[in-house]
Amino acid sequence: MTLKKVIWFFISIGLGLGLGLIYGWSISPAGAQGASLPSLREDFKADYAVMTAEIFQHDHNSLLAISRLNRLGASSPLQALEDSLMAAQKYGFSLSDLQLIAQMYQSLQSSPGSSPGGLP
Amino acid sequence: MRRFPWYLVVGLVVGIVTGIVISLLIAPVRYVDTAPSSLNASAKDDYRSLIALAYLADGDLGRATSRLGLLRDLNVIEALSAQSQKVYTLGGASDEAQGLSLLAVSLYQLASGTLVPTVAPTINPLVTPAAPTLTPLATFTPRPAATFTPTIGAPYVVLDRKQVCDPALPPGLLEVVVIDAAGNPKPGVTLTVTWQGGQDHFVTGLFPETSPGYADFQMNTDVIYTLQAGEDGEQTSNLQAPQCTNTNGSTYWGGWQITYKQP
Repeated sequence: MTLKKVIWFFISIGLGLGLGLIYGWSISPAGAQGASLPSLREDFKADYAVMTAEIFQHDHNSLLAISRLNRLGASSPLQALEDSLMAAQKYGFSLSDLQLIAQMYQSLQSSPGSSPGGLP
Repeated sequence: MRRFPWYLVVGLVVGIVTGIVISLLIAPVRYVDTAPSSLNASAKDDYRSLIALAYLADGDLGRATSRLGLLRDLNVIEALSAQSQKVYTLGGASDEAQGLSLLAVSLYQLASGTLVPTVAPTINPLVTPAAPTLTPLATFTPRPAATFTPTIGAPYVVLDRKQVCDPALPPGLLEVVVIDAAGNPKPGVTLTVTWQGGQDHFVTGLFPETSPGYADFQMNTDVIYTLQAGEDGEQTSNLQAPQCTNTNGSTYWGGWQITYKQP
């Protein structure tokens, strides 16, 4: 095999590699069905926590609230609330939103399953 | 005669396979810091349900609209209605389905001008936010009084019951309209149909273009049904598709139209 052919061989490998990467990263990525809740940006996670707190304030169902917070992928529901509270402050959420999250945090502190390794 | 450059084909194939292995297995795409519009279908359903339940809790239509806009559904009302129906069909939480259908109806009324928004006048419910980088906090205040909240009231009673003979309608169609004490159509009311060996549920408000208090059910023409509105509402029994006669003498299956009212 001449040097010219060797060079073209590696060029073709590089071209194929590029095509394969484009396919796997852009055309048909492994997670093509979309992102999950833990991958949400922190302000959206904070709003998710606010919604959970609004519902909790209405139905006082701590099990459901914990189950919803667990979907955010934090180590525990309380951790999810702490993260959300910080994000809500950072992004300038209204005082009433901050209070809602804080109130739910206080309520869930005494609930089983709200600490790390909480309910599935 | 020149030989075909197989080494190029081999190189290309080796490269493609390596690229696919890297991009799908070794270093696949990871979603980080995404917007709700990037969520997968199941997570979007979760997010939509949460929006509806939060709306049920606080009645803030402006805020619910902003949040729904983040999901970038092509048709927000349709997405809500379809999910509500899905929740009912799968036997999910009734408050979740009720919230979804109430929100769909409220948005429809807002879009058609029959409901005046009490919050955030800058919000257009049918326009999704321009950029996903916007944080959802800007339009979240103030909190208004609820525009729609489900109320537990007196059991529904049958106001009217009539056979419908219209060949244009599907045979055996059971149409139900529920109105409140003031005579306004009432969405989000669970209707239960029972028959020998079976039971099904459906809910008012999934066809806001007909009426917010409207719902329908497709009866089998050879089955006798009993209908009930709400948990303790009056029962309408012996509902069977009636036989109607055309002007030319031929027969076809008709339906029923039942109107329930909250006293």
